Amino acid sequence: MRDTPRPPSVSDQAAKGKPPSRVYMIDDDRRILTALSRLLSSAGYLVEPFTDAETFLANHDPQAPGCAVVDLSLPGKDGFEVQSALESCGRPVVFLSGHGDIPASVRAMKAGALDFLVKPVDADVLLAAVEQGTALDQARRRSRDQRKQLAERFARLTARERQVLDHVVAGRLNKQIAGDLGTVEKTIKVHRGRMMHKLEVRTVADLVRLVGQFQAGRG
Amino acid sequence: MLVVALPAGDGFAQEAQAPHRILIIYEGDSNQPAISEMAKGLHHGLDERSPTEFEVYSEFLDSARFPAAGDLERMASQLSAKYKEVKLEAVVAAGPIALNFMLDNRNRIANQVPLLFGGVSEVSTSGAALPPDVKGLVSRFDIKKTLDMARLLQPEAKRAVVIYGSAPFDRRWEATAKAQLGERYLDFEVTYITDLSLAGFADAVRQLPRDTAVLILSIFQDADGRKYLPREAVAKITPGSAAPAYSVYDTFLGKGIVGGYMGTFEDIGEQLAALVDRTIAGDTSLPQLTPLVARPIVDWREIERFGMDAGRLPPGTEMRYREPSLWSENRAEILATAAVVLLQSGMIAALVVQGRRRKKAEAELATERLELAHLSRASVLGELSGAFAHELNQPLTSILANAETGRRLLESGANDLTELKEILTDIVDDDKRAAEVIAQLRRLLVKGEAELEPVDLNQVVAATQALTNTELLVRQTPVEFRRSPSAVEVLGNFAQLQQVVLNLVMNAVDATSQLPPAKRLVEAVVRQREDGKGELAVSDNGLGVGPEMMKDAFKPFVSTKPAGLGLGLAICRSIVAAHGGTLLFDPKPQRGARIVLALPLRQKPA
Repeated sequence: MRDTPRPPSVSDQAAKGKPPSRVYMIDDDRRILTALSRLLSSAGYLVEPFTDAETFLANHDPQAPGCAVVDLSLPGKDGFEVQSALESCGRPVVFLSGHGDIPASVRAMKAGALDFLVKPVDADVLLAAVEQGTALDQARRRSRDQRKQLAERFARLTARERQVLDHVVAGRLNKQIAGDLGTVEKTIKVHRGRMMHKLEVRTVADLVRLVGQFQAGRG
Repeated sequence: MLVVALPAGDGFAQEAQAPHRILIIYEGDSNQPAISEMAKGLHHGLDERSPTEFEVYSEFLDSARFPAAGDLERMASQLSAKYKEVKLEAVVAAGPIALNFMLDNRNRIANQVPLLFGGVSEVSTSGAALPPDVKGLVSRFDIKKTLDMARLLQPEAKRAVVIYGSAPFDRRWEATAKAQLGERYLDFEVTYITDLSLAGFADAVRQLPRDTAVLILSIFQDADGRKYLPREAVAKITPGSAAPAYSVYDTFLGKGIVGGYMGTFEDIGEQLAALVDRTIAGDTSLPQLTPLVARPIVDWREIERFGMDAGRLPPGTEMRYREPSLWSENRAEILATAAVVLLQSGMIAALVVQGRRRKKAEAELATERLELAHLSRASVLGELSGAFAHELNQPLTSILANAETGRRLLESGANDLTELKEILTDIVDDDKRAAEVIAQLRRLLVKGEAELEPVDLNQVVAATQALTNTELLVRQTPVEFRRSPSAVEVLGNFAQLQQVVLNLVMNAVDATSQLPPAKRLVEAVVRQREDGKGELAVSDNGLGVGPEMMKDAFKPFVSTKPAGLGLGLAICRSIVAAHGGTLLFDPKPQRGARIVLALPLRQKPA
């Protein structure tokens, strides 16, 4: 079930400036849920507490930034299932476990968990993991946004402009490109100018870097 | 009187000479060594028994790779069609899963055909749940006989060291070994070594004196949580061992153990063949459970490595890894000496047994009962210790988080006293919660005379619920604890009654473990009866308890669980009897089994 988020306490204002990062906290032990939520709120996070995986997943907005702190053994769907459900949106997961169970921790880390913390967990350790988690989430979102923007820019090109782009990046001169594509240098210049404009670059060096980023982004 | 025997079928005279058709259901796949050895033994055993000819059909469930209920169901309907027209005279289920499969699907695959089973260790299926015409071979791993062998080979040894790992299966061996061997056995001072890493075990045996007998049970997991095939773990431990090692598993042979009393899979096959033969011959005197005959097997190289006198071994001992010429040379001599030794050891054993019996009789019966109660409690505790650790860890986790939050708030100069107060209240509550867990632990461990006090059965149930929460979560078995709206007060000892409830609940949980988690149903209900008794009934939807087992279940050392000590219900009943109450199975439960604890209500002082 869903627990109401705690109102920001006095100390939340300590983390002035930045808007608070969000942490989804899932633990079936209500008292631990309260205590850990309290700890994270006191460090300036906006905590959304849940006591089971199903409610969390039903209310989960993949678009909202933030990381998840998940107890491994939950009634119904367990922590691993939460992790695999979050994989598609790339939300970092920090696991909590009551036992220092080596096979489980190996499994969690292999599946891409950010950290595997054993209860009782030290406040500094948890806060460090959560900070890393929210930072990683931000970084992932930022690079995803950038990739999206890049893709949009490249999508604006016409087929002809794309051909010209390929040749320019390959280091061909306008005259050579005209020869390759069976047209005159003047036309190539026009295409080239439009292409550079649409991709928002000024120099060939910038263009090459942009193409490199785009290709890396597509992996 | 005129008796006319007519063939049931179409009257062909050849029908009488038709081969005996037998279906064997193996639970593994045909390439598994255990399965192929069992098959080898079975075929060998059947061949030996001809003139009668056997026509053997084999099916492999491959249940390790296709364990789902759907897989088995598909297999069942397939087999049902396949064997519809085959006149089977016996079906053999090899392995516990195969047995359960056949018990479930017998009517469809081979209706009214005698069902035999083997490769089932101890009684992993409830002896009571078996219909009378289902009979089989039960494997028992004989640690006592194995130590007897060690005694023969090492007459001077003072100590026996029993080694096992940290997996739940290994832990069950602990209980069995401790119950059978205790602290002294055959003049061996028996000590138990566990909770070590594999390297730790290797170190420990390296430091043992030469005149020690090491008994290695199973090591599926060590204290570091690493998992092993037991035989591979054994291979890492034995090479450095200063003392000879023994075991009950033949798979450890060749991995550095001297030997032991073992029933190999091939033996299972051969002895199953004998049961098949007797069954087909119409021999109905076959007991339902035939114990697998284990036999002495040793690794000759180990005998030599420790310079032991093979002449002391019991006759018929199988010597593996030995040059045959040596054996034939000394055979007669060895056999003669062995016979003498066997005679001697038999006399020693008889004397030991006699001495023990007398001692036992002298001992106060009540004391013994208390000891047993404590033993069983301790073994249940062993199983629950992980759960206890978890129960303590939970409050510790929230206490730590709350305390650290409080400190952070104070350090940041916050003046929100309301939040600080909430935090401190939570810390106090969690601390009490932790203390309660410890109090429960102590109550269970307490050894001594029972103190009678007014006890509310509702509270006993509540305490059991709190204690088993985690364990039940892990085992994916929800138990519905239903308390009576008003107090049900009896005169009793809280800890002992809790022990009884704990036992009954865990039994019920075990009984449903074969079902898929969503179908498991366990209920513990407290109510006040009209006849002035307080009642607690625990019911489940497991396989149920047959009429004979309903009586036998309360006898000590009768167990339907693979590694059960068979003490649980015996102790429960003696505790209940001491409370002036009764503990009985419901003869006609709605489903599965239902056991009812009834205690006289406390007479309220006027």
